[in-house]
Amino acid sequence: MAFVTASAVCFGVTSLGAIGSEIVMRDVTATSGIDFVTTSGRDPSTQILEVKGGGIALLDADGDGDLDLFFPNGASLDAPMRGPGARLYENLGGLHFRDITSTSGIDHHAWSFGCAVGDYDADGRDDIYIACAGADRLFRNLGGGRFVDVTSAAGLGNEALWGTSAAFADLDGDHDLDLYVANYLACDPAKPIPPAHFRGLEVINGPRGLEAHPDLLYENLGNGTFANRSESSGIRTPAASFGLNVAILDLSGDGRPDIFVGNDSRSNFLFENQGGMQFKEVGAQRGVATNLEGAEQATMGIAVGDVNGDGRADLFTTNFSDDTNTLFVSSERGFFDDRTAQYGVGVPSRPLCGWATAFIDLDHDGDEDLFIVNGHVYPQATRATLNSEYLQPLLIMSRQGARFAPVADPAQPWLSSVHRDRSAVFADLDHDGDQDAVVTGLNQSVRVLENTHPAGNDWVVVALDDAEHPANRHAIGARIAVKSGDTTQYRWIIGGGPFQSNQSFEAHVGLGPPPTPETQVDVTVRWPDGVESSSTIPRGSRTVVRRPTTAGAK
Amino acid sequence: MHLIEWIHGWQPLALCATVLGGLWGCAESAVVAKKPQPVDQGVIATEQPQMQVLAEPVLHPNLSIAAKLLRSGQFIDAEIVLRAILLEQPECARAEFLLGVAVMKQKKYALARPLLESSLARSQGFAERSQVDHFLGWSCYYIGDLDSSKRHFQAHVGSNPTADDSYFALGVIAIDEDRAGDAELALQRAIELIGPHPARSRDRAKALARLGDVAVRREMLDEALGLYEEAAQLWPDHYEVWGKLARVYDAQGRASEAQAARLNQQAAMERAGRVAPVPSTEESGNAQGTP
Repeated sequence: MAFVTASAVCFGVTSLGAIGSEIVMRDVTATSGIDFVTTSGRDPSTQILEVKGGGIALLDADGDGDLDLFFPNGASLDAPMRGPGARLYENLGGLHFRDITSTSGIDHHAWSFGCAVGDYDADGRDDIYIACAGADRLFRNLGGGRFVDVTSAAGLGNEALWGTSAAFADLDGDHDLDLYVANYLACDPAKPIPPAHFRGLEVINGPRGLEAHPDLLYENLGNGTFANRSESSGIRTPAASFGLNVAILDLSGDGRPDIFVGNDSRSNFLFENQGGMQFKEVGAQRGVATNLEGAEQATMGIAVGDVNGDGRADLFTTNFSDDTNTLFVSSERGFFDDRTAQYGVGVPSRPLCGWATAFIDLDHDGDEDLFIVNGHVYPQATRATLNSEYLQPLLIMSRQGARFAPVADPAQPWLSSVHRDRSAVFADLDHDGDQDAVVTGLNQSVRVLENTHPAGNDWVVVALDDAEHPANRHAIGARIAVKSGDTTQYRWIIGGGPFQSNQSFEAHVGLGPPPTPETQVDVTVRWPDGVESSSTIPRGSRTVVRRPTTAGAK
Repeated sequence: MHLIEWIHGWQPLALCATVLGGLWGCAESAVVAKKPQPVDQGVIATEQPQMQVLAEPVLHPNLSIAAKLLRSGQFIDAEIVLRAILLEQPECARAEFLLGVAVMKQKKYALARPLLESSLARSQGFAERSQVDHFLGWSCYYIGDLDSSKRHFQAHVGSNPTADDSYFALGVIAIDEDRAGDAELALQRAIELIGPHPARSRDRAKALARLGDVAVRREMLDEALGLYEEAAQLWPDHYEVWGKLARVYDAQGRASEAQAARLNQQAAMERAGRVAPVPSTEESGNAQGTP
C-alpha cells in the first residue's frame, strides 16, 4: 500500500474488521529472499571485536516508497578489511526481497557495525553512514538503488576508531543533518587481547580495563561536507567511554535535539543541546546515567516511547545478564525516574543479555509493547555458570494495563527459538498496517518476522515530509501525536535507535477498537523547528503528512 | 567477621542471628518440624505445611570441613569438598544444601536452585532445613522467577516469623511487582525485627533504603529523602543509597546537594573497592558489562 498525503484521498483504508488483541508473528525468512548469514569473526568468539555483530539500515534505497534493507556486515580477525561485504536488499513487497548489492555500487568489505540513515546532501534520497572498526564510510544515494562512496569528499573517515552506532539529526538548528558517532574501544585485530576471568570462567576480555575510544560529532556544512566538532561542541568534556548506541531527540523539552549515548559498563551520557552546536553532559543530573541503584550498566539497546501517555519521551535500555533492563520515565521536572520495577520490565530480563529493542504496538491494542532481542557475549555462558545461556530467545513484553508482561506462546516458535541476536529493525515492511521485524546476530542467518495481525483499521502509519527543509525531509526530531477518541499517543522521529541500526522514519500507531463511529484520527505534528501542524487522517491508512509552509502553520 | 556478614554479603539483607545460629551450628541433630506460626502480616505470610522429618542419615565427616570453608569465604574450595561428599553420599540433603549455598556465593543462582530444591525434597533432617526456603527464595529471585521466590520467602516467614531478611525480600519482591502497600508492610516488619542495635545498622539501612524506593514510587520525594538520609547515616558505605539520594536531589533540582551525594557515593564505592581501575587482564571483573 502506498502512502497518500493527508490532504488527498487515502488509499488502502481497509474495512472494519476483527481486531486482534494478541501478538502473532511468524518467521518468513525462508520465503523472504534473504538468505544472508552475517559474518562476525570466528565461531565461537574469542575477542571483543567479534561479539557486537552488525546493525541494519532501514531506508528507501531506490525511491519506490517502501523500505529496503542494508546490512553493513562484519569480517574476521585475520582479514578485518576484507570481509564478505555489506549487502543491500530491495523490498519487492509482500516481505519479498532481492539482493541488489552487485548493482548498487556498494563494495564495502571493512569490519562494520552500526549504520545511520539520512539525506546528508538534501537531494531527496536516503544516504548511509557506516560505523566501522577503523575509518567509517559514507555512501551517497544516487537514486535507483545506486550508491557511491563519498567518505573522503565529505570530509569523513579520518578517524581510525571503533565505531559502533551512529545517528543523523539537525543538531545546530540549520535544517541539515549533522552526525553523531558512538565509538567503543581500542582494539587491534592483529593483536588478540588476552582473556579475562569472570566468575571462574576464562572469557572474552573487555571493555573494562581497555582503552575507550572517544565519540565523534560532525557538523554538516551544507555543501556536502562535514566538519569535526567533537572537541569544540563539548561532547568530549567527559572522559571517553565505551559507546555502544545513540538516540537523538529532544529529551529536555526545549525543542532542541539532545543526544543520549548508551555506554557499556560506564555511565550513560546525555548531551543536552545548548544551541549553537554546544552540548553539556547532564546524564547524572537528569537521571539517565545509571539505574536507580546508581549502578553503571551495559547499555546496548535504546527504545523511545511514552509509557504513561504524558507526551514526554521515555527511554528504555537493554543491559547485561544478571542485571535488568531499565526504564527511565520522564517527569515534569525534566528528570528521568527509573521506573523499571513499577512497569515490570526488569525481572524477566535478568537471565538475558539484551540488545536491540523498540516500543511497538504489536497487537494494535492501543499501547506499545516491547520487542527485545537477546544473546550472550560469552560462548561459555550457561545457566549453571552465569545464570544465562549463550543462545537466547526474544523477549516480547506485552503492555497489560499499567505494566508489561512477557509473552509466552508455545504455538509460536519464533518466540522460543534461541539465537545470539544483536540488531533489529522494525517497520511495516509489507504495507499491511502492522510492524514487522528483521533481526541479525552473530554469524547467523538474518531472520524476517512477519506480524500477522488481522487486517483491520486499528492502525495508522504516518511519515513526515518537510519540503521546506529538504535536508531533513524525514523531520528527524519531530514529535507526532495521534488522537483517537479520548486517547492521544505520541511517537518520535529520532536519529539512531534500536542498536547499531536506525529506527524507521515511519511512525506506526496501533489504535485499538474504534470508538464508534470513528473513521478518522487527528494527527498533530511538532516539527523539528517547533512549528505545529494538525490534520485528520483515516484509520487503517498509510499517510504522508506534509509540513505546511511556515506562513500556513498554526 | 560476623557470620552474618560473610554468608550474606551478597544479599540485600542478612538473616537474623538466631537463624544463622542454627544454620552453622556444628550439632547435626535432626530438626523437629515446627508447627507453622501465625504471622501478623497476613498479606505476605503463608503457612508452611508441617513436614514429616525422616531419620537423619549418617553424616559425612567432611561436612564440617565444608562448613568451615564456607565460613572462611572459600566458596570454590567448599564446592569441591561438597561435590566429593556427594559422590560418596549422593542423597545427603545437607551436603546438597551447603553446596547450594556455596554456589550461590559464587552468584551461580541457577545452579544453586536445583541443589536447594533437592535438599528440601529429600525430607531428611539437618540443622539448616528450616532455612532452605530462604536461600531458595534468593536463588529464584536472582534468576528472575519472582513467583517461586515469593512462595519460598512466604514459606520461610511462615515457619520463621522473626526472619527479617525474608520479610525484606518480600518487600523487594512487592516493589518489583508494584505493590507499594505490601512492600511497605513487609519492609516495616523487617525493620521492626532488625531492631535498633548498632550491629544491625547495615541491615536496617538497606531496609530503610528500600522503603525510600517505595516513597519515590508514590512520588513522596521528601519522605524518600528522609529515609535515604537515615540509611546513609546508619551505613555510610552503602553507596547505592548515596546514589538514590543524588537522584532525588536531582529530581528536586537541588544540584549542589545532589553533587555532594554523588561524591559520597563515589567515596563509598572506592571504600568498597567498586571503582578501582582494573589494569590487569588477568584480574577478574573486567569482563564485559559486569553488573
